Amino acid sequence: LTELKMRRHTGYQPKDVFEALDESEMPVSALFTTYTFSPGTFRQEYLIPLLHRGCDEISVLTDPIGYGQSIFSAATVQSIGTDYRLRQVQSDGSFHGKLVVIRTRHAAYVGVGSGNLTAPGLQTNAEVGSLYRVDKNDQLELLEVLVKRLRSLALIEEKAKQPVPPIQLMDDARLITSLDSPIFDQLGFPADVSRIELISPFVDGQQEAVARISSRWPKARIRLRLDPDFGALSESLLDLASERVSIQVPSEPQTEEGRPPVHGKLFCFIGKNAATIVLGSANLSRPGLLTKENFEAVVERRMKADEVESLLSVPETRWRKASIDDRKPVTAFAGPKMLGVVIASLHFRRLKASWSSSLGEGGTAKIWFRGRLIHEIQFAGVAKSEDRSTVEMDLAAKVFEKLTGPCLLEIELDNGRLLLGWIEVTDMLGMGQEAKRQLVFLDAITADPLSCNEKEVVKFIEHLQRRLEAASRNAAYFAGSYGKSQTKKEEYDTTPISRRDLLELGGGSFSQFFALERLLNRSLDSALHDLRFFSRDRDDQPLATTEADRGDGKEKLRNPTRKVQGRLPLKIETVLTALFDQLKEKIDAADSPAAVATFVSQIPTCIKALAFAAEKWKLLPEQRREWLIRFFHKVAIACLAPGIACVARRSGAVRRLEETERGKLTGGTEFGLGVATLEAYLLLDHERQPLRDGSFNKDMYDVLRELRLPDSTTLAAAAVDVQSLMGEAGDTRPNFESLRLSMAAVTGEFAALRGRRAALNDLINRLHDGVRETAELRPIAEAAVGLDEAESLLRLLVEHARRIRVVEVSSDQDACSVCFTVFPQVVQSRLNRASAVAQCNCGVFLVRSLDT
Amino acid sequence: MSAENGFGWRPITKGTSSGLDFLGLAVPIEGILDAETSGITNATFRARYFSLVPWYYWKYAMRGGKGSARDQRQFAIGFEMLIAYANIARLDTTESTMTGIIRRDFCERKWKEGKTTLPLRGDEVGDTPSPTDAALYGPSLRRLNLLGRHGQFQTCRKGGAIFAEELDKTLGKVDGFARLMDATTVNRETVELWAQKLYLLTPSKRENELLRALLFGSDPFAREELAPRVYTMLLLLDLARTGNTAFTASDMEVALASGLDLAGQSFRPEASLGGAYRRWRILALLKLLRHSSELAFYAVHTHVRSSTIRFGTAQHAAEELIASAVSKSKGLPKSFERLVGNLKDTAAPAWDPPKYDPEEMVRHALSICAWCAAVLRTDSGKDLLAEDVATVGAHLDADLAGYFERLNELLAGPTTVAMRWLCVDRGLARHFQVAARKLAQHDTFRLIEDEDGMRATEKCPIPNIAIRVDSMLSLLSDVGLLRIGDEGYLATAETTQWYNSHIKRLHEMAGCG
Repeated sequence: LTELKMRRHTGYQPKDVFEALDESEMPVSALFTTYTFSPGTFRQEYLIPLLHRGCDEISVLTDPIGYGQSIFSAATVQSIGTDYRLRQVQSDGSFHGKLVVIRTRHAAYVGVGSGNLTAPGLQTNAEVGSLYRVDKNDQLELLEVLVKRLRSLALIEEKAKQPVPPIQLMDDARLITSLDSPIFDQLGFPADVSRIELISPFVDGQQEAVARISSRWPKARIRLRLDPDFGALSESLLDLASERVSIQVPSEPQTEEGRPPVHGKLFCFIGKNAATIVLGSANLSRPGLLTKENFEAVVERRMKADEVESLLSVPETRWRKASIDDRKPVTAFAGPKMLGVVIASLHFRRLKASWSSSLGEGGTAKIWFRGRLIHEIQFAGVAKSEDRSTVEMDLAAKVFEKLTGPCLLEIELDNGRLLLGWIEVTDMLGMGQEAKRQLVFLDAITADPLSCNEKEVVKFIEHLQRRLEAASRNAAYFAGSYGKSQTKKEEYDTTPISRRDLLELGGGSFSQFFALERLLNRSLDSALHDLRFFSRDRDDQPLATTEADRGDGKEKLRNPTRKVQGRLPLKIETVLTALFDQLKEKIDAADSPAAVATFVSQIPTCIKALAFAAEKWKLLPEQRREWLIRFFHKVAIACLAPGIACVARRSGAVRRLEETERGKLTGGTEFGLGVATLEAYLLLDHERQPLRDGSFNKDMYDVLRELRLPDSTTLAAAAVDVQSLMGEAGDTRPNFESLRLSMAAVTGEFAALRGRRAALNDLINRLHDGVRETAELRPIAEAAVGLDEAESLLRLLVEHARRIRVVEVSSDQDACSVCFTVFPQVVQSRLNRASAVAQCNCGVFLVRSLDT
Repeated sequence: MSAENGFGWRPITKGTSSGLDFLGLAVPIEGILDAETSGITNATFRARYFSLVPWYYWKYAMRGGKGSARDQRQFAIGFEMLIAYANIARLDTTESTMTGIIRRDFCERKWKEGKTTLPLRGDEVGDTPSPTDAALYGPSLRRLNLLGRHGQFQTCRKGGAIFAEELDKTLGKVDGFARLMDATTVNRETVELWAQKLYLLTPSKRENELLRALLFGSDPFAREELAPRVYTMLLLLDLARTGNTAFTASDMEVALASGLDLAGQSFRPEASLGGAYRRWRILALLKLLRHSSELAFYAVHTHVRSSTIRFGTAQHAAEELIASAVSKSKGLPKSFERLVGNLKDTAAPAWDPPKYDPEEMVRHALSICAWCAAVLRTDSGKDLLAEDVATVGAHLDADLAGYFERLNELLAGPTTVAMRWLCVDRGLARHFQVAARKLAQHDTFRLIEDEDGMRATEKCPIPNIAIRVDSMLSLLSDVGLLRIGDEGYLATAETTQWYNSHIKRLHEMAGCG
């Protein structure tokens, strides 16, 4: 991919950064610089992937313009001050560089470009950029100096004054910044520059940069291309056009469907054999190139002269000679004056604020959260040191608890000056802390899942959901399939089934199988949905949503007064609690945020169903038959069933309990009662409608059989309990011994699948051994895939005879492990049936893994 | 080893198409609707699809033998097409009009071409009719328990089989029916033959009885608990009876938002419908509040587009618009509380602003908000806030109770602050957040803020927010419980008779429970 990009000279998008980032390398810190800033876009494009990779220290340094943009959107901003630091940097000119520096333990990834951290900058403008991985010590040390300098400008670190020379990124590429001297003065050029290509959206009014270039190479032909929509095409600039200097504009106007805004800045100084290319943030202007008023960052790249041409092709843009009619004068609206900025941090409950002015002895501090004022406090005793004023104050616990997301601090000094800034919540900054915060929340639920309230359960599931969504989004993103699935036309499976099975009129293996499948795979969305609306049906618990006016007219609390605390039947409770405890311990023991993310994404559906079922059960106002049947069934399934990712039924939830944990439980009375209840339920179900071979319920029962089974008295008592819960008359006394025997004779789905797999292996072995007689092979094929598919399987296998290679595919695998091709939907759908055999395009035969 | 992973012009992502929920405010409304009218969508206008669709899926299953998901889809497509052709033919002959025909655009085009054979299945026919039409096949038929979906298969459930068996007595016996099950084309004459039988507005008497039973959850579709949909339908019938003249869905929605009946009088529903009434009032108010946010955003968008000035940032654009909207207005009070007070006891503001100029729009948007605040401050409004569904959408900061709290806080301040909240916190800021999240899906950006200042996209449609009242009234008229004319819907004697008998049924059920 890299080679391909290089041949075509292609810049980078955020996803390329994460593609380049070696999977084995965890990002340790990341620093971004930008002029304009969109917090939403940054979060989407860089922050979330970085957090998922466990990056601890993330900072964004922006020009006051970008900082102002974030404050303007404060009501909806996410993650500032909690997941990353946002600081503005004051400079003589503009803080204009667009730099990405991501450090891992052994390397650094450096992105330099023209695009800001905004949607157009990262996605829709025509921008230039370059991305490097560097790992030599001298390079890394210099990058460290650069990062320190920038962080010190943003007052994140102590003042650093060590100069930052050009940093050699590759033999032929250097990173140059304007921190210590103007960009132009640091560039190296071929000795014989005869042609100069300049692309820049902005040119200074006096055309000083163009003049400087023109005078340095008085014989060189210069072609300047600029997008007039940025407003820089002036009459005086057009006057520069001559035989030697040509000025071009895009042939077509800028439209949504047509060409993009050309915001990239690219300068090519071309000699006979060699060329110097400059690409990055610097415009063709005095502040951009000729002074160090602005902060700018560019890459200077040497290449062969004949390679330059491909760089001059701007995506989706053609050029023509500019004329006076192309001018688009832009009257910029001056807008309101920017406010002063306060740097604020919250360490536990101690709020510290500092600002640059030495004015002000006291004033008022206001904390805003999601666009709302949540706290106001008067302060005095401002401490002065050099050019900074500082004040510290303790927040009340009830205020502190509310600061769960990005908060703005507004300070009005007694001299009338107004300052604004994001509060950096140091306990939350860095994913390590973030993970701990989530653990505190999870801890509260998992420690006592049955007495947590509905809101907490919703939050719990939402948390799981976010993790899952993000995990799948990331997977799709990095697989390059993001956004494609929606446009893909649905492919319909051609696997034959009996049409009559599509009548779902009660009973029937097809519907039963899928009903269970659907129950297990129930989406979290539906679970959430049900939870939210569940309370509507609770007629015994009117929700008093009261307005408690605190008297200040500014804040009203909704009193979430709920509820009668129902309890799950004790028997189920024990299993639930153990599972939740185990979940908590797993997360607790995770040694990195990435491990937490991975683990959470792997939590089986049954655990999520447990959260759901627990809440449902708890809130039942009375024993209503329909609900009880449904929810009891759900709980039973939840306790015993495998997760969504397990088509081959790897393991039940009880099996998931670790041995030691299971050992503890199996000795307990409550666990015994739980097992008795579940066994009674399954046996009664079997009595009502005898299970058929291949039944998944039998698998559940088999899991149960691994535990110590209850004695007959306990089982009978449990059966009475179950019958009563299900609203059935308990006057008939089932013969459990006979039911157990009858149940033992049923072959569960899992066992049936194993039998089928053994038959398949036998069939293949015989084919390898040269057997071709249908009479011998046919019965084995039928045993392997059933009557309906035996013939087609046999035909297929005989065709390949001695070359048959079978690969087992795990349930979460969506690509062939031999040729790495993503399975077509038809194959995926086919592999959903654990007994099916599919064939990959590369020729290998695919079967679902049955590993437990 | 050092490496260069990119150098040059970056590939461009297109990102300015228009999504309809550009402020992320649809979720609470959709969530409540799903709970209240499970099985009904904004696209389910024609009741007869509830009987015809299960019939052909049942027919497919009853053919016996082997089939596949692909085969089943092709089978169904043929009948979707046949129903569309038949209805278009009927409308053509009778010179009538009707909405809600699935696959209408394509079939109408083919019908008007005048060819003797028309495509039914195969390459020429698209897989799904349209995203909106597909909604019928998604939630509705499954939630009404008529069909099930397992993977790519549609199954026919008991409820669907009840319809199918009834319809098959007539439709299944039509000459040439067997051939249509696999045909890739159909003759015009055959379509004309089916036009009478498949016309969506003329179910047979028994079919109509079954459709009514389905919508109102009565025998043979009765379940132990009545679906919330039944309360909603009865509520609509009750409200419909209060109008002296024909009414439209939007009249009904305004009545709900105001707490009045169709004649403008105070409305108090039958006690058993009280919960449903309050929830529908919440929906109607949420619709208005969402509209006010979108209108305010649209005002800023228009301001950016139409201004000769290039605004540096969204803040500049918003603040300039707000200042100008307030200063140029003669009737706008300086305090938001006064504005709310002025709108107390007035009729609901119109959906559309008097003029589509930015200042008018933003003032109108604020008036809608203020009117909702005034309604919520009344006693009946406070009752709404006590409902659980008033907090639906709280996690997205889009719930009614959240709106009320914020509007209450704004009362003490000047109108400009309330306007800023509406334009910025509810509009621009949400948009930037939502759009950034959706960009990866190639969705929505309507205002773009970057180094060259603010740009507005060329298109910014304001969505018409549907809360299914329209489709429910249409379904009620399809089964003959409301009469529809050019002016709108009208209650009839049958409306009252049906309403009374079902209210009685509710009471009986409550008594039994």
